[in-house]
Amino acid sequence: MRETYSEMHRLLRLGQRFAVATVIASRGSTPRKPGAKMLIMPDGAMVGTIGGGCGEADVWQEAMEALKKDRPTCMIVDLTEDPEAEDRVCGGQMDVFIEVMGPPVVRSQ
Amino acid sequence: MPRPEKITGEFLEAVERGEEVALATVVSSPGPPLPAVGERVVVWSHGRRLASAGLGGWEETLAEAGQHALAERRSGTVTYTSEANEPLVAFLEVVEPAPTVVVIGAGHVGQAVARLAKMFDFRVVVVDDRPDFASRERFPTADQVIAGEFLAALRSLPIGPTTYVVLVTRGHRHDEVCLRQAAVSPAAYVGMIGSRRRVRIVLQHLAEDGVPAEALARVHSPIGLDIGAETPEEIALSIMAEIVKEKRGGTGESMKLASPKGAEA
Repeated sequence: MRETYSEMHRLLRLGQRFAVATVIASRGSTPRKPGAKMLIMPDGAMVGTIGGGCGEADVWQEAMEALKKDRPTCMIVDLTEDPEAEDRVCGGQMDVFIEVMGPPVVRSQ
Repeated sequence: MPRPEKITGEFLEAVERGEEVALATVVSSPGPPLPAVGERVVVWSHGRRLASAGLGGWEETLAEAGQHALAERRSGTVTYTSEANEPLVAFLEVVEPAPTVVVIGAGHVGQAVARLAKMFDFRVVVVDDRPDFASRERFPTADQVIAGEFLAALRSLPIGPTTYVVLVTRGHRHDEVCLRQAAVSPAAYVGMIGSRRRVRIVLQHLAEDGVPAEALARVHSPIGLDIGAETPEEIALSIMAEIVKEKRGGTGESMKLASPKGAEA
């Protein structure tokens, strides 16, 4: 987790644009607790994890959307209705806050 | 007033320095006149705070919530409801400071302690008043190397319940001055090197100067576990063994099983 913080700090200093997904609340058996973070680069690369596989793909999708629209968002990641839940160790719900950091994109129209 | 990114940057910097700090961020808002999503304030345990421009009158409220989270050492959300609006939700983020070993004295023992402490995943800060000794070359793995006057440097560092202070300067005068400061700090561990005779004299000085007996009783001095250490590396091992023991709560005794009855020849 500490590495994610350092990387986030580094990217901020460089003035890079990226999205941060933070677990802000969790209910039931979830892999990560409030404060867990994942960074998503505009090219789709990720740093850190908010639960390795469990709903992470959905969060990635939302983060890419947030980057495109330059707008923060909150989402609920439901790990109970996962069709593949059998072979996953989690089964709760997480609230995830996604925000965009760094300079806004300049769109030429 | 700064942008939200600037506030987050301040927060991350404080986290890296091992300071006691919390960040409160609006994550859901009904919109004006309430602050927008993303507005935030960073608060330090000693009361300093820095808020983003758009937080307005909510700065005080969220700063207070941040202090509360800091005291509880727990991250989570807080919801403010009103009849007219949708609720405003803020996320309070607290990062447990990394366990830190502060090595006062950059001699051979300090060097070995710094190396070993890093191996055990501690943050390592080294202090010495000799720039030749407190150098990057001598401490390539340390997180922070401070060349400066001992007491001033010690005072500038955040010392909290996850800080382990190791006093191994070249002179007892320096050790004593620093011990006076460290003994009454909330550090998890304070240890000072020295012979039994020397240590007794230093502790007596401090007692006479009015340092409370409870504070002096917490001091580990002479420093380290008794493993018969002689070389700087062995002494460092003895010191780190004592620190790990304090951190994890061991006995410091050999784990060897007692001989079963009748086995003695």
